[in-house]
Amino acid sequence: MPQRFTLGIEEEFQLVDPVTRELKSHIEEMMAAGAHLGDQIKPELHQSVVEVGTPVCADIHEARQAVTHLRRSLIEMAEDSRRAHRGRRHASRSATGRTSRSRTACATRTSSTRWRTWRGPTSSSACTFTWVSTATRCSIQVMNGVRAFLPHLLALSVNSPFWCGRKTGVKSVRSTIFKRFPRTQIPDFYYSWDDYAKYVDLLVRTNSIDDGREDLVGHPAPRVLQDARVPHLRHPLPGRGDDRHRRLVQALVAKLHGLFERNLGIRGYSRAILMENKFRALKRGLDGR
Amino acid sequence: MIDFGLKSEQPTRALVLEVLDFVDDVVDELGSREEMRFLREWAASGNTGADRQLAAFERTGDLRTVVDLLVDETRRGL
Repeated sequence: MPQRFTLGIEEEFQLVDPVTRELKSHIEEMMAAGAHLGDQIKPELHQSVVEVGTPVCADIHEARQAVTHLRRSLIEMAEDSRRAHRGRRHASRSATGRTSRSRTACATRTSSTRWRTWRGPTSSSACTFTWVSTATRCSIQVMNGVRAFLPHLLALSVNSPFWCGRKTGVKSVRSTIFKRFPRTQIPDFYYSWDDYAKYVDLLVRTNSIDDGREDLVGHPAPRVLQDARVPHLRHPLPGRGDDRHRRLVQALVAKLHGLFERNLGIRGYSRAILMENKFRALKRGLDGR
Repeated sequence: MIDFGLKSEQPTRALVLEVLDFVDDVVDELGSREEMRFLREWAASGNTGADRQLAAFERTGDLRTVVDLLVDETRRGL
């Protein structure tokens, strides 16, 4: 397998007060404390969310080490903050994947340049992204192919049954909330890299996105490839579950890459029909049909 | 979910297991055989993060328990 399928992982964490378990706007303190992490730590849309991203990792083992290092760092920073503010009300914060009680109004926006011009709806949530590299010559075909499996990955990873302190009746309310954001659903089918590049170019020219290249540290991946995403919400599985989920994502990319290299492939389904499965997955997770 | 090949509804767990079958011939080269074996067992009968949150809430009726679960799982395995 000459293609290495290198990986990059991004994780978003919500910052919660361990006493009230409500979201806390604490990003400025976390950014200051995390200066040693360089561009591996970033603010997100809300001040109660912190994002960390690994460098490009040679394999899943290296990715796991990088993720573990970043998570430990965040937890240590939160613990240091707790010790520094001992005795005060709202004294400590913990990094977590998702909190379910706090209302959107609790989450103040950041001045992050990525979100500076965003005037759309705001909803605080957190997720993780798995990036897998492929040879450019077949990356669009791989992305087209992965689309069919996004509902399956979502079924494994549903992790948000509550919203604003209430049961929602679905297992991934985040998937429904993000419908309000552009480019967050299962992407269209692209016929070629040029077809996709024209789409990205239009978005850049019309100020819909920035330069189309950012996010993963040191990896100028076209950002819109995020569209081939599913909310890989935190902790789909207990313990090392995130790692296993990422391995499945990598395996899917490797499998599809191998097929396309041999001029094989899978059928390209329309977004409409794939969305049927996505809805079933977000509603009932693994227990649906 | 819908099995597009069969044009019929199938249990989601069964279709996830089919995905694991689909990638089976590449997982050795990626060094992920053991983890895929775990995923296979888990997909057959395990609970999702959403299920665990709902179960925690059912036990206590207190959403703080759910937040505590998430904090605990964030730290687990580090």
